[in-house]
Amino acid sequence: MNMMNILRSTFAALAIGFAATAAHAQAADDFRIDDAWKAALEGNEGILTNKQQAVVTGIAYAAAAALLCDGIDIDADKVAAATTAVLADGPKDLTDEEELERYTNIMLMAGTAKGILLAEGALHKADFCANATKEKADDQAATFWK
Amino acid sequence: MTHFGKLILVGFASAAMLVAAEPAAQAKTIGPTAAAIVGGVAGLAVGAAIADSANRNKKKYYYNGYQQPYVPGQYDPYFNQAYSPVAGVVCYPAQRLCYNNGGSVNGTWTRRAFGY
Repeated sequence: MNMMNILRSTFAALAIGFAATAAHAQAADDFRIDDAWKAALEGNEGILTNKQQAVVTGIAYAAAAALLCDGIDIDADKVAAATTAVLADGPKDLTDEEELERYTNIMLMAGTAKGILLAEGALHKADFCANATKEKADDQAATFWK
Repeated sequence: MTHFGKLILVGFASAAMLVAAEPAAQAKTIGPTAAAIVGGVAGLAVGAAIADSANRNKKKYYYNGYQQPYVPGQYDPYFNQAYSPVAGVVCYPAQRLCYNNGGSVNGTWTRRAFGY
């Protein structure tokens, strides 16, 4: 094999490697319903802090797993406490109407996230539930399950 | 209705909505008249919130100190940001969620990355 052929083979191998890496990254995202998440989140950016948003999606995930997976039950007390904390910690200068609208928007956001996560989970239920079950078994994990 | 009353009602309703997989015993503690009043108030708020969510330039209740993390009209690059904290996990800051390779939510990394 001359030098040119060696170079060609090397480049071909590199190209295959890069393609495989890209495909792998893409595979990681296969079940995420990007457009639905984008539509749901874009209009609500800024209503919740990063942490509050994480709590809301965390509750939505817990609720979706409780609906889809055997042996996983939601802890209603934990959900109520976390939800009330998120609702209570908003801007202080809102009118009553704005405040109620903010609460409602957060509720809708939580429901929407739960719906999207239900759909994502249902697309690959065995894997989704296996992960949820593993998390539930982890004593160190702070979840919204019993 | 007082602020506190509304907060309790909405908190109760949110929790009830989200944990609908549970038996709805708690829902029976509210009478039909109270439910109708709450329903009317909540109905107006739901309508306003749905209309508001369709209008992306009209929010009055951003949290204090909020600064839009993207240039107006340029949401996509912000939404599409992702990083991998460890092999096999991808986190999406706009979504505040981390996923495992294959698509399952990774709650452990979500909590670690986004702090709750």
